[in-house]
Amino acid sequence: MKLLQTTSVGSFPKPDYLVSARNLYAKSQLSREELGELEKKATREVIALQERLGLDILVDGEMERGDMTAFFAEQLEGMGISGLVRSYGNRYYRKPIVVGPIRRVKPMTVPMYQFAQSLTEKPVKGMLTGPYTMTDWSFNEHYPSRRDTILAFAQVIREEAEDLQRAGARYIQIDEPALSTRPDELPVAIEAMHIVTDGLKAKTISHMCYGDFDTIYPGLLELPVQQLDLEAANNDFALIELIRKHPFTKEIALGVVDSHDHRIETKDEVVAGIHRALEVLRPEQVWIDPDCGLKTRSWQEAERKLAVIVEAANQVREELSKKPKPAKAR
Amino acid sequence: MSDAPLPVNLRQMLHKHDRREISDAELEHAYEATITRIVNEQESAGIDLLTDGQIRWDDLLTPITRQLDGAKPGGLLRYFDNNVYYRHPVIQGPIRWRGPATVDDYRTAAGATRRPVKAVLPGPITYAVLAEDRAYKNFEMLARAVSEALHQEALALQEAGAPLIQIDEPALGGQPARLALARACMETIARGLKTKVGIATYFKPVQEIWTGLRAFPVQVWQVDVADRPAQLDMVLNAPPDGEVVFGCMDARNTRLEERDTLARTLERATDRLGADRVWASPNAGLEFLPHATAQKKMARLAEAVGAVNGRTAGTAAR
Repeated sequence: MKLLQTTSVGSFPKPDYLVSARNLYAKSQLSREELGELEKKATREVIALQERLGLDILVDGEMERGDMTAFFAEQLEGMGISGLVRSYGNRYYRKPIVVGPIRRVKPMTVPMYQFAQSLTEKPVKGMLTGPYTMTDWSFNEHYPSRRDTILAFAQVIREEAEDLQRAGARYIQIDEPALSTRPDELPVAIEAMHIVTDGLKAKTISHMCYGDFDTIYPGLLELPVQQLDLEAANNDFALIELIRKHPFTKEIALGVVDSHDHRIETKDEVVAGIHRALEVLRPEQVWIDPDCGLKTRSWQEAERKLAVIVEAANQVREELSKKPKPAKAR
Repeated sequence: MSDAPLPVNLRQMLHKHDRREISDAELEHAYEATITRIVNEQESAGIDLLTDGQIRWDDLLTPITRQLDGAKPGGLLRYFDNNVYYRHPVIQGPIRWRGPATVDDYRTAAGATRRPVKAVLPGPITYAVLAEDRAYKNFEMLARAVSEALHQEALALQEAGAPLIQIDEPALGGQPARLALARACMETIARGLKTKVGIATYFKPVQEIWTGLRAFPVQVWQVDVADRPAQLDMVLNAPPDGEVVFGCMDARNTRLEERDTLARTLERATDRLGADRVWASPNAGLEFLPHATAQKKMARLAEAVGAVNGRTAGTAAR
């Protein structure tokens, strides 16, 4: 098995032509078909970039998605979209609202997954937003409790995960960035993830970020996925100290560059970060990636950050290959 | 927080200002006009105790941070369990109050109505929890320094005529070990003030700290009973010696509460505490809702208070 496989979390920056096209589509000045062709064009570029850089596990870049919850809300029965809600300062977004029983009408992510996978021999991850985050980032006007809402989302996300697996996805990532916001709800988030992942043959991954892991670790290790994709660079690898206190029992995709900083990390910085991680983790359990999706970076920044990741992982992998293997105990 | 969602025209003016299509003075005029509009909307909705809507506030902390020596607004972080962001204060040196941060907008709002307008400030515990402390490297020292600065701001608000200064402590429920410090900080802020001081808690549960919290040196307590209904019994079983603002309207969900459900909650409160000690309010700032939803919710709250036949002190904006 290749050690320290490289990947990315999910989203890529949208090329300028696609940003313009999305604006025109929103004003009904562009058809859905025309927008769809440009989304495919951008997806080809995302796949080509990852192949050129030498990443191991690819993503489709989410060129057809705006917000990671609204994308699903727009396609699910029982959901609407609210008026504008402030995100920060003078920036606003339209927050999903649960207005009735949540039902999946058709596969939501499968067509783009299939298109992206058709462009490469390397595996492409199927990408979903988890039931806890869908609930936490939506208004709820229908279900009597948060638990009911979370479990309802879990059912439709399960259906989508099965369809992704049927379409050939070997890796299915279910993002839960909201998971650490209410530590007392971790048990219901775990219950919901069981609904999504139990019995799947694909490798399951969950990404989370910008949270207070201290409050949910090591309970987080009960989340029924095989790999957790966690940020480390953005908080100076504080995660490593947590793991030092309580061993990490799953695979980890370790965020080694800050996705929300324009500065490009040096190879030496990233190598040093990986070395720190390997003080408390076995190389066999570690993948290497950015802290979070790259959609807020420019295309050039995204490319350079991923290039540094690949170079750093290659260097550490080579170091590891030269290390004498410990003799087997008799 | 009492942030009201920004109306569309101010958002457009802000974009124009970013593109340098309007001057600073024109933007300032837009801010003042918006504060007046928000005050009028609260009056029309039947609200008794108003706010200036914190129209200029990007988040709870940044307006204060900008007026403190030793602190600067840092990067964006996710704000509690909300899918919104705040600029975390970066503490670089000793905290010193440079001058009023909130008084001008307070005066604008108070000048636009005959009804009382309350002032809102972030609490020192919440400020210290959300800050990145590169200077004191000591939570207590930072919280105490912030309290001294907030005391200066509170004096300036009292001078401007604020009848109530509300200290928002959303982080306090998650900090039971810091309750004694929070109390000491509140004593610092309220030192020598003649105007009323209140503490507002939300987002996190306060059951664990209620015994200590109800003995704080303030006159008004605000408690979330919408998202955390068990906290209604908590207050009614052991009320503080003062007025209570019952956060009975969920400011983080678009579902419109039934008038009668709200009225029943308020009836229980007035039966226990007496009408003059009970206020009805959203459980957090309205910034988490679309503007039109926030307006409907505030009108519904006023209806519920009406249904209790005026047997409360009134409705308070958050």
